[in-house]
Amino acid sequence: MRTSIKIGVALLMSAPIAAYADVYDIHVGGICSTQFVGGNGGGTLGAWPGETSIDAPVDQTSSMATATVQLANTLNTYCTGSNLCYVYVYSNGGAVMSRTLSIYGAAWNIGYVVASASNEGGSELGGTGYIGQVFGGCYLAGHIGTSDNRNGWNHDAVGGVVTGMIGGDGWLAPYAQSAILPGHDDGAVAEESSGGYASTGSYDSICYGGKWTNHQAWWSCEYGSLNHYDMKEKGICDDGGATGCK
Amino acid sequence: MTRPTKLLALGAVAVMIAAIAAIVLLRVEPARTSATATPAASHESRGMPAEPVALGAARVAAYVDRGETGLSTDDPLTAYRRANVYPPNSHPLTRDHDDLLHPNQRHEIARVMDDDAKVKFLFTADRYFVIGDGALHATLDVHKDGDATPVPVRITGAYAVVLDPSKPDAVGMQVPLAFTGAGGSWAATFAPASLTQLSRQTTIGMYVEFETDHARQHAHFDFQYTPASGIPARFTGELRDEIVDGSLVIHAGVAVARGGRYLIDCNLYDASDEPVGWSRFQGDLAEGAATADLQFFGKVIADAKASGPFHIGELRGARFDPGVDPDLEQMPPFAGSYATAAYPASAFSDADYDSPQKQQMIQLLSQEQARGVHLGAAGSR
Repeated sequence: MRTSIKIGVALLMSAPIAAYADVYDIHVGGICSTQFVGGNGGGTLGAWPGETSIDAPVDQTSSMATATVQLANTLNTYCTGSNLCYVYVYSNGGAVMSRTLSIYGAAWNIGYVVASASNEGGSELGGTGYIGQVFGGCYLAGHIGTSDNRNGWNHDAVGGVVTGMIGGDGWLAPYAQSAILPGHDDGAVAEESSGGYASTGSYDSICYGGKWTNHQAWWSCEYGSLNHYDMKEKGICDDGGATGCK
Repeated sequence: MTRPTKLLALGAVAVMIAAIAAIVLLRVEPARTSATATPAASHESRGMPAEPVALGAARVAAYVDRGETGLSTDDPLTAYRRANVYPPNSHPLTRDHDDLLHPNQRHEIARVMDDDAKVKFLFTADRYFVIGDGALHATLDVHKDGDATPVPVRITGAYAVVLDPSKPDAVGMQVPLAFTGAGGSWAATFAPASLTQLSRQTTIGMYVEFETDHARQHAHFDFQYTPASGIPARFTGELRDEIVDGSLVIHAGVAVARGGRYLIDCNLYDASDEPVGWSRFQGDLAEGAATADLQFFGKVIADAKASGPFHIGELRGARFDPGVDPDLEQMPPFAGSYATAAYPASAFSDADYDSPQKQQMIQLLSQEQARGVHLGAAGSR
């Protein structure tokens, strides 16, 4: 019997297959942030049993180029070999994630991306005075408009990674910005962006067709009462990593 | 060894045997080493069912690009498999892919003035990328909200700014713009080549300030400029095509001025000028004469029931300079035309995409599914 066990163990040890994956949950914050935790909307890392949550050090204050290379470094650290990652992005973090996937390709083991209130498609607030009040007033906040984020990279070539989108339609002070954003919005981004739509325009739901490749609506076609800050943790709660979300 | 210990040991051996069997099953699919995406079935076995993916799962239907509606409820393993029926570097292309069909088309839309919700304006331009001696044509249109009645405005300031976040107020250089027009319609043409100091990829902001009788407004947008001296590579116009493992591969000649990592995108159209698929080359090109291999995946063409001769469009590219802002140095888009041989639809494999990376992801997500954590779209909120 002992010999049999030894043979079995030896076979398992010699099998050319990865050991059970280490799972990392990568969190990426929004515009003007350097990490996920803190800032507008608070931000607490999700927790899943037996997994490790990572607060990605991604500087979104001055340059998408800087943010892209920093996120790539994080993914290189945690999402290769036999590891598996899930990525939770918020606001402009959704743009950084899409851009990183597009430019670097599909080298990472990413189960999926959950994009809360994503600014992947840019915001009409870029270049307005509301940027400072809503986003915090860093340089980059004025340069994440619809053309910046839509022409800037190929949103369809994102390495075969599935991105689940969620979007809100709640009011956010000082409120006037919703008159600028087309269709339904969370006070910072319109559903043209949070829904992953490939064309700008007025949308009243994120459940229509017309999304970028492998972008999907998850869990709700719209969180009607949640504003941009409320949305920060929502994707994490929806995916079982936290409780207490609105 | 006591009886309970023996039972435990027997159980452990059984688990190991089951695990080994699973490993063998997982490894039935031979590893593929090709740098390009490979159909799961060989060219020779075209028409036969594709080899089953690992775990013996049946083929799944690909997500329909632009066509999926409603909430997804797929579990993560199913979602991954449906998202990867085609390779990451080649997918179907339809008339609905406006962003890929017109990659230089801007995306601003009209918005209300900050202090007058009855008036809308649109400040935009005819392009996002300007290269070499090219010019950008900016327009300002101001009208009543709800109809197209022009609202007369006065331009009180207009300038182009070379953006440099390392400088005070991010102003690297500023030049005035001359808008011409009347009433609510104004325009300005700006040729950045006049900024002779520029030598590499640059972000330029276009700023305008205007006023109606009741309110003032400022607006801005950015565009990307590549001076002639900053062009990293050019398409030579030397193109050829062939069928490789049931996929169409177009080899595009590139004269590389600065070696490095390149992203090159291209669209494919059929004989009726209908979009068929897109392809991306992503790889290193050395300085000098180089070739970018653009693979249009067999199943993409087979599913479109398209046949040749095909022709290309929107062949474009950029050199990636990591961490440098801007980090994508643009190549001049290919201005010529190219048509392939007249391949019949039967020349293309309809087999699903497969790769070692895909198999590993299926394995990892299968483990996760058994664990019951991270249910993704299939989870209850």
